[in-house]
Amino acid sequence: MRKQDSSSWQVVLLLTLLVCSVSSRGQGLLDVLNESEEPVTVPVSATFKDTRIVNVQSNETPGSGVLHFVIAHRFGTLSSGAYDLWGLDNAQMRMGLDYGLTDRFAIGVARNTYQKTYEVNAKARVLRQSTGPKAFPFSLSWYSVMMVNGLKASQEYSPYYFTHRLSYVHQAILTRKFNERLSLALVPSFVHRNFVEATGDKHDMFLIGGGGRYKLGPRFSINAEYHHRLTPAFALGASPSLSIGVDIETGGHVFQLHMTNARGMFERSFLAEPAGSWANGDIYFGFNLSRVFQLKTNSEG
Amino acid sequence: MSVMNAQRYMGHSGMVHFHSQTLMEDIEATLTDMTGIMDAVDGSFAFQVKMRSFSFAKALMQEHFNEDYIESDQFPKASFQGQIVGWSVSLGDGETHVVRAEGVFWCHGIEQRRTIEGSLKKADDGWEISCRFPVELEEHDIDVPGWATYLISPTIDVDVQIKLTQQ
Repeated sequence: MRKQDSSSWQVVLLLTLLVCSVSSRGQGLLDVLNESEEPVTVPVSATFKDTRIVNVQSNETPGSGVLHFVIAHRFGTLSSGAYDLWGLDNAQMRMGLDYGLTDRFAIGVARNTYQKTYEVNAKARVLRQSTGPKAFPFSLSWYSVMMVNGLKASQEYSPYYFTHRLSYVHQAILTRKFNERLSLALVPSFVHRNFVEATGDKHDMFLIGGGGRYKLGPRFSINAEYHHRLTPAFALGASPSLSIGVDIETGGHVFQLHMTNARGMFERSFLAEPAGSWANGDIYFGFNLSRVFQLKTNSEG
Repeated sequence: MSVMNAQRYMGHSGMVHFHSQTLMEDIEATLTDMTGIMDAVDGSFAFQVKMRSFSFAKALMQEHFNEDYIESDQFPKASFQGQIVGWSVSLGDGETHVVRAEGVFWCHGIEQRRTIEGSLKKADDGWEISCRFPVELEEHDIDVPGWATYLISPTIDVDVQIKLTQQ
């Protein structure tokens, strides 16, 4: 009995060895390949689906040779009631064109119906989050925009020069893609307005903003952002801007649908000007609809 | 062991090109850093690509390939390993031979047993290997949403060329 036991163990052992040697033979070659490969540093891509989270810029820029066209709307406030169909009767529009000169630098122009404002902007990816031997933990992009108020000059503000129409915003956009689903952004902003309507209002303002996205599916995410004023607002009880929304992606389009308490879609407006109160229903439904056109193809592709 | 290693051929700059064609859209991409290894004693082999190496003409296509379809962070590599059927030393006579390779094709985390036809030629400094084969997206659990079925073919044609040199 004992003898038989030990001999059957020997058979099992022999079989195990045989199976192992057979399976390790094929596996071995793939292992040799893996050992021969030098690990490479890969930049993290698609931290956000579009160049904006809701209102604020994300770290993303259009790729090299890509023209990025955005039409955005903000309807009237939900609190305006049935007479204005909860805001749908009144829409503000922004049309923007951004172009990627390289994979890391883009320039753009835009026109807003709100205060008939024109924009000229530039955005650079300064640092990119990456994985591999030279891994880097976050991305840093820089965004600068000059805005030109296009409204007819009011007699009230005479003399009113062209320079009075100008305002500037500069932002550092720090982002990290924590995993496939979660990306967060920290956005310090500096706003300079050449002209302020009220005496005593500040020309310069600092803000700190936060935003993020959480992907619920491969082409669907929930986004939110909030901007906190470090320079106290001149208007008493002015609400900071808070927005939530969703991204829906279909091929070359990204649809961003959101609720926000900011009326304007350019930086001075949603950062420096008092936003509506969420509690009072001063909430604007809106969307950003983007489409990309590849004007120049990558040479290696 | 050293005798076996002497019969090992390797390459690090294989070319892979794939093509999807529909009425609406042509999609193609190329990489040139496929790795490969072959044992000339028994004709066993392994080939491997990094999905993020595929370069597309359109930046957004490349992003969608990696993020939405192939999910490169989760499944960074594809490989084919197996055995050349009917391996013999006469395949190394310097002529081009059409051979069949049997093995496991691994892509998007799904394995499929495949038999792939290709050509093999022994040159002075190594082996030249090329093949062309289709990949069915469905077999590898690669989801194409309804609106994209006009843009992405359910069958992708793949071309491979590599030179393996003696180690």
